[in-house]
Amino acid sequence: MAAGKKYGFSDFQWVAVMVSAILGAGMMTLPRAVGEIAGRDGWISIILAGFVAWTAALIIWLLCRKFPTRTLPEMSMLILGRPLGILVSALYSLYALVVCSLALRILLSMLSTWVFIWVPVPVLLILILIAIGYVGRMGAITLARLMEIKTILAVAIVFMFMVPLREFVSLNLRPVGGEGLKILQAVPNASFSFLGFEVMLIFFPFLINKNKALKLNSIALGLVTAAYAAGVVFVYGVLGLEYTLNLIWPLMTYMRIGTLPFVQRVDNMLLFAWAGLIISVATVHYFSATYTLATLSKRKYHDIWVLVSLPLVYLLTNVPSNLAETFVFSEIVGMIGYPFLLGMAVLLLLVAKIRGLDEREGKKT
Amino acid sequence: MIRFLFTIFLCGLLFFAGGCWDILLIEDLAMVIAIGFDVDPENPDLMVVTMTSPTLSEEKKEPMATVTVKAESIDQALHNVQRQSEDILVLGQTNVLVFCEEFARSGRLSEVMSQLSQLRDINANAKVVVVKGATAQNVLQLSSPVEPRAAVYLVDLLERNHFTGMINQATVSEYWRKHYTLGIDPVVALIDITGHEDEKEGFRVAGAGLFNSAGKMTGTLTDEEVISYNIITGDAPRRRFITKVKISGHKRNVSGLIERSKVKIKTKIKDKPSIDVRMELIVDGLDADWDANVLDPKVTDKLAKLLAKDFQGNIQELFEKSQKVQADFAGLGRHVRVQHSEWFNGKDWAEEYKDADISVSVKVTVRRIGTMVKPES
Repeated sequence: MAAGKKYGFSDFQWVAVMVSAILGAGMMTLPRAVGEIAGRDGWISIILAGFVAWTAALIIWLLCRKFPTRTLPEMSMLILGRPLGILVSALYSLYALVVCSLALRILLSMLSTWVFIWVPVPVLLILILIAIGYVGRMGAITLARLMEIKTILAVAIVFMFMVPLREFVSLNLRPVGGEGLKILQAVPNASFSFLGFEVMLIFFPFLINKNKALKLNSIALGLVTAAYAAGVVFVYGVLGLEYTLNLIWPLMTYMRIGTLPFVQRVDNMLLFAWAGLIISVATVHYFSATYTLATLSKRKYHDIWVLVSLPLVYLLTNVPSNLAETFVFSEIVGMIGYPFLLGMAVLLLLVAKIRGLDEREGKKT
Repeated sequence: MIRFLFTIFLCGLLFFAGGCWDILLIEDLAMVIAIGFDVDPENPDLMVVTMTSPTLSEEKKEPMATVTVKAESIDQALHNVQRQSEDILVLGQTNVLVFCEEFARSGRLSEVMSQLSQLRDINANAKVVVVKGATAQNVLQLSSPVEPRAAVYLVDLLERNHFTGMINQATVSEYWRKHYTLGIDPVVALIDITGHEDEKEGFRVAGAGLFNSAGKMTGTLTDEEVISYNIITGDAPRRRFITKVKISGHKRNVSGLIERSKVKIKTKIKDKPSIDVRMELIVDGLDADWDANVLDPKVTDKLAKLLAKDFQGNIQELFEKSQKVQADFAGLGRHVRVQHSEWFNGKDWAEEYKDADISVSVKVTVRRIGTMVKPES
């Protein structure tokens, strides 16, 4: 390593990993999911959900900054004791593997629907899992570098989103605020799409500028909120609410409108680019899960954990038997995810406070 | 050794990657570029579907292969055409859908559009057109001296005429969006066949078809009315108009370009909706057959006022016509929904639109008049 150069995540890499952990499959279905409850004000619900996610991320950050050199398994064993710590960490690993599987399942459903109609799903899944396993074994820094490159490439997707905007009609979004309280009712559903910020529990020790973590988290969540809200505004503006609510994959239908002089099917281009984003979500969560398991085994055998967890992801991906079950499954994960993560963070914070544990002050650690 | 085997394994898997697994060579594809839909005269439950695709082979005598089948649905039609095709049918390059007038008026066009929306490979930017007084099958089998491939000729005709403001934009995705959205109804392009009675070999754009909220074509617009439609909706890159206005007791030809248009729509609800449409048009390159000094500001003002009156009358008539056929082509209902959403939510807009009071006022600003000081001197 070059003298003076610190080993860890740069600021941009941190933002890239956070964005990569959150932004993925949710975008494809969010316009319909929020529109069913909040109507044409769905985009407001998403902005509010962004604030909810930011608050949740703040609680996790409060916990992480108390133990800046420890990952979740290390801090949970320290705070709760070894048995409870192992239980909490194992539950987190399972949760992360489920999120990874769910992201892959939605990706596979989308690919099978739109492009690879005749390709057997197991073939696609195995190919993707090989890539995820390969990246997972390379370590956190390599993962961060990959996410950095992917985030830069994702800028191209922003331009693709602009193609159908010629058909944008602002009337489709008005009257703004007309749905009243329904806007708030859609916030929980919208919030589920922001799950992923919790990877902070695993990656925080890798961040070089830990004093900037809150600011960087705010930037990452701001970017994701802007992307989600813009996606919904664009889809409603072009397709109209009524038509959007009748579509399983509204974003794909949106992208079918309009062409570029050199690309006739922009939707296929987007699908391939977006597949990269969803695989990133799966990879970051997969790494979090296996790294947690490796830490439980004294930071050894990460390579082995990466390999042995792949069949589990394969099986979990195949749990929903159809698309309807996939959406139900994803709602359940969202409903369990928030209380589990926040409950765990608050519990760890409270117990640490009661026991006077704080690594920064060198108390009993 | 393990690394070597792993590499071999990975390379082997590449053969199963999407493109290789589901390989489709372009030579093996029948790329349908146009589909025609007609009513079956023998069985009203069936439709006659004509699909045309380029032959893509120098050995074939005809540049296009056209297959006609009978079917109950688009999926069945695809099956039936596939049975007659040596290549695999694909719809990604379908550029135009042609419907006969009877088919559109019966509401079956809407059913077909709904079925098409479920086909993932259909080109959502394909044009939708209704043919007057002929069948879609006729249209797709015509061989114009300009371009023997009728489907290609038709697509070019529609694109160029949309660009010059002669017809409205009517694509598959636009139909889907307008059909589903409350407060606006779809409008598609209309064509008819030209030529002698014995030798019909071409077609021309002939206006637009108006659809009601139930998906039935209930009325048509003439080609002159389509220009007013494009002025209201801004639905064409270039909007050129030709009209006759009465100046000093004589009807005189006036033509020009609508450079910009601004439409403001205000609505009120009393016992029925009252809609006030205010338009401001910037007209450029005006040509008028009038023996007057066009550099005189009074002449320009007079022409602007006369044009405003003319546009106002035409657009008012257009709205009245659309009310009679319950087709809200301009999406006035969307403005009512935005401005009076509580009232709108409980209403059947198609019924309300029929009885709504629509008033139009137009203000015209003339930028430039022709190239001669006294055009008709």
